[in-house]
Amino acid sequence: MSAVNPGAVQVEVRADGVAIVWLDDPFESVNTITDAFGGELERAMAEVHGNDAVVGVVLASRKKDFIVGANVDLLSALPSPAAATAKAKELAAALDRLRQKPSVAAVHGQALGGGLEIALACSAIVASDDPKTGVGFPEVQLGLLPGANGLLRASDRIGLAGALDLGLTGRTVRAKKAKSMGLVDEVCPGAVLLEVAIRRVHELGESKRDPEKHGPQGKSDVTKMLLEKNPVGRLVLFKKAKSAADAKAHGNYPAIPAILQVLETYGAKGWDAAAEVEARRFGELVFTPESRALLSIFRAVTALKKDPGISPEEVASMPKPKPIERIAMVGGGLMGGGIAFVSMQKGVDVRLKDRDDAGVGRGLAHVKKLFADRVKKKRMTKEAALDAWGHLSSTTDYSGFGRAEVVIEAVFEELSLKRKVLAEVEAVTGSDCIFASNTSSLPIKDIAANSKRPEHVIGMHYFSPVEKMPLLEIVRAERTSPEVVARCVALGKRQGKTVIVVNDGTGFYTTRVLAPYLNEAAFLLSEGVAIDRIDRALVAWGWPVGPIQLIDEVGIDVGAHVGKITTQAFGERMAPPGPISRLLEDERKGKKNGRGFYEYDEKGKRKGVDPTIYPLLGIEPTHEIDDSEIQMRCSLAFVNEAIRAYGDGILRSARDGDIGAIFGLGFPPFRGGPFRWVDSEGAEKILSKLRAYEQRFGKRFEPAPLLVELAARGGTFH
Amino acid sequence: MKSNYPKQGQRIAIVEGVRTPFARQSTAYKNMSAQDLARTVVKELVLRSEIDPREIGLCVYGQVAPSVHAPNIAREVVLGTGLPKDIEAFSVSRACATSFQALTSAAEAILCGQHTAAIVGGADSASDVPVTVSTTLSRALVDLTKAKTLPERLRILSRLGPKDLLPVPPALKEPTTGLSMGESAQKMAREAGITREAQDAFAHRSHERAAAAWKDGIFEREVMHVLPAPRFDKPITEDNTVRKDGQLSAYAALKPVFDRKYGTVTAANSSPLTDGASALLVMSEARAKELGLVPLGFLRSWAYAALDPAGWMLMGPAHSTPLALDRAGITLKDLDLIDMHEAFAAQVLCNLQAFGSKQYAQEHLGRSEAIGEVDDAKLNVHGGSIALGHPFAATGARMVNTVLRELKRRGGGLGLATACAAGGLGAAVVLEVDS
Repeated sequence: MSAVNPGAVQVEVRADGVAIVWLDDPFESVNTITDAFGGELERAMAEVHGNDAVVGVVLASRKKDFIVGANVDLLSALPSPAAATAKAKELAAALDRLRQKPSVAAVHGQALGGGLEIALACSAIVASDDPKTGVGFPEVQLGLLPGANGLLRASDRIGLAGALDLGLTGRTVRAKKAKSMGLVDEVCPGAVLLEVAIRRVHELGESKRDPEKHGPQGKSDVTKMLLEKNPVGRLVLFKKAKSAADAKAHGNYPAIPAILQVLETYGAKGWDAAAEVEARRFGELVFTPESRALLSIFRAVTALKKDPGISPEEVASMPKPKPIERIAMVGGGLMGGGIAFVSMQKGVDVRLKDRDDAGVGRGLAHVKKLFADRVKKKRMTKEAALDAWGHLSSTTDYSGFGRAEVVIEAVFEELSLKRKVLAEVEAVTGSDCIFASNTSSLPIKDIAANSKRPEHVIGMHYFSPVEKMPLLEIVRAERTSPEVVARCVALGKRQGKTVIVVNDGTGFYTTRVLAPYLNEAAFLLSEGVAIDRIDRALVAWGWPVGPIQLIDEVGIDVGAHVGKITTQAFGERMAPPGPISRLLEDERKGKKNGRGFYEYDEKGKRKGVDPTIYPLLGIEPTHEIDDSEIQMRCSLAFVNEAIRAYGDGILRSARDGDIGAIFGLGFPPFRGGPFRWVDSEGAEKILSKLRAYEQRFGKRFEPAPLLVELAARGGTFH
Repeated sequence: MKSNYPKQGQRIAIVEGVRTPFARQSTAYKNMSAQDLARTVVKELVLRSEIDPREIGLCVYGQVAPSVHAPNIAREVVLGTGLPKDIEAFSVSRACATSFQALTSAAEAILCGQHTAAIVGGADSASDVPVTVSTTLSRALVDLTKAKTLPERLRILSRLGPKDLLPVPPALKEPTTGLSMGESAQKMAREAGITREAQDAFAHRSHERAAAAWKDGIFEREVMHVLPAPRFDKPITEDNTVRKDGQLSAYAALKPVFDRKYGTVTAANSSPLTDGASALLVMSEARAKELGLVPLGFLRSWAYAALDPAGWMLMGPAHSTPLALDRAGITLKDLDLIDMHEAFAAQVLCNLQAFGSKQYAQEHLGRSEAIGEVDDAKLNVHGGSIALGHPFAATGARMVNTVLRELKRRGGGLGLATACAAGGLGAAVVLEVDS
């Protein structure tokens, strides 16, 4: 980052006395709040306030977004919580001065975090009706809170409950919705945005209002009166919000209680007290390990967006990879349908093949439903859904495969079947066509063993449900060409995925590290620890679902099948405890057939643990152990295998290992991923825990060589 | 007569053809509009052709009963199938000969050098017909949008009687003669002396041949499978109009429809109301060759003709065929296959009679000699519209596709596809497949 950004904020004074303050950081593709940017904005505002000819101000961006938030580097540069608090206060004070003259924020594109705080600090907000225009406070996702009175100003506009929702969910609200909530004042077509904002400046100039006044604006409705204007009502409101947040966050996200506290204080004690709490809590949050971890994820994701998936030398050695416009899917199940959906949505043509019409029909119905849901939730227009639908066709043979640039197979996880499909596909496609296997465990080199063009064979491991899961794990076999990797990475990004590229090997990265984790849960169960105890302990540690529930959701049969493959490849340390095989003999496949570790109702909704499971496994679920032992045994099994995979050269970086674990498998994000977690705990400490378990439970806890080495030299992964 | 048939190398190639299975009104496609059917078939056409869609510059498509939602179906087809949005498009209508028109309009554009490749075809849904409101109600509604005060609005509404509120189904009668298609066929049968038995036998022949063709897999390449929305769980893979083991005796049991007392035209010896869509990909011969494509065959010549609908309205084939043959520089006996649209058995039989009649040629066609006797072995070898169904705008492209593929199966040759159409129109195209 440059220390001085000349020209990031430019002032244009119009003949009618309205000054346009243009936001346009010349060194960044988007406007973010940096020290330099903030300084320039202050200077510009001082200039317009000092100029008697200026009657009012419009803040507008020349970028495709307004301001996307504070620059994360600004936060990392702060030396202490006190400095962070001071920085927040400084920015808040600067924003307070935005209303000295009538000011209007003309918001086109995103106004997030600090960007929304700036807009809210203006006298009025006019937003464009562009679908990309949106406002929100994503700070909570980084373990922070908006530190420049944003929550308070939002509360003035939309009430405490509305501000709580924005603050706690971090969601982005589209222009039209923001208008109906009262968060913005006016929505107009982008082409006339500036004109409308200027007109509003003049209108504001004529009306008499106190620019310094804080507090609720506009009409207040009955709910607000009942809930927010009296202490009892507020108690109800905050109690509800707290319990909802706890149910999701399990106390692992310190930003959540901080946001609640800020708004609770505002409701009870007013602006000054709340602003004080806000600045203090902001300062503290910046220095929590949770926020540091979440910021590291944010940085990693940002870096991955720019990562072509191959080395700089490889990039230099080849022409720019051609974007992929047409794919074909072999296998139209949930996976194939999901991949089709995320592709069509971005205008990629999809040819969906299944064995028979019934299979194709189920695939089409699945894709249709995904679109219908988007339309119903107003996340997509009917017209856009129809347009996307035009990119789909289906077949029961290989007709129409001739022009496919990538064929993705999502057939049953069986080597001979995948080889057969590969041979069939190679027979009907062009010599440039990429064959991507959506295998979750089989080495790509084995699938490509008889390929005519192994340099065109790759793994694209999507996670189910594809339309929701953010990760794509691309598996590069030894013979896969860098161009093929780069094209598939670009396709994955277009499909909206965060893409990591890993090297070939059984289970690659994600499946390989998941196996010992799930096994350990099974070991705990076989020792007599109750199923719900195990799951609850790991959810409390931060996993989205417990391991046993996860087995039910993935499918016990699928888990057992993949388990066999990983055990074959890695030997004893991957072997699950024996009695688990009895489940399959008892026709238990998990959620999909309504028979698993848990019971399910007719609609497939999970109920409690199935009590008949214990006698079936010959277990009495009475063994009492500490939650921490459950958490450590499972998580360390996971982390240790992640380090092994890294040591074996499967991962390109620890960063990819963290992202894969968090986005593909649900590793607790606030811990930053397995590698960052080891860094924050200390390699030595992790090593000694593993050694202790190794003594008690044997070889499956044998520490990864890389961890031993790291501990010996006191190093870190990052 | 001089042929104006394009020289070898400059012909119109038909490089791919596909259609949906045809389905009786309100059966398999009851939840699909003609537009949905059209998009489904065109998407499949382009993919099966395996050509780069950027080769295509034009889409000419038709629908006989046009939708009020999408008056230019051709453009909707382009926009709803992920095709490049710069493919220009216009819709055509020539009643039952609509997709002949789509084909020849595209051929003209290609011959003029305006385009090199085009999508053509047609779709109709008898399940999704444009039911409208009465003229009185329609006028009142327009007036209401202009009325400013309540009394004005009430005055306009008071013009309406209960009868004006009834929906109006699409007209089935000829606007100028007041006769329906079936009534015209009935009139022709009566005046030409075509017996009920002959009609029933011809209809039975159509079903037998269509059933045999399906059984032998003849249609496998040209008919796609459709999984009708919204549930996609009931695939339709064959025309559901074909009677697979009908008995000739059963035809006699039906009551005549258009003249209950003296008539001979029944539901069984007429084509049914049908839903379906078809499409062809046409290209200049030169471009097809450059791309290394092996066309199904070529369009050699075409002709349209018209006669007074108050007379024998459905004689279009007899009037258009000799023109097309002349333009192709051939005579009827040069043809290996003749495909005549079967609107009604009576209409086919009347036309066949006229083909062989010197008198008809002299009195109606201004020709000294008969067109020629049609060899039954060459006629509608895989059945026709009576058995396969007749989604109006889709029929022409269906016929062209079937004739070309059959000629190819036989190692090449010449074929004719001809149809009658409402208003006394006729269409004929001569097709050829190189041996």
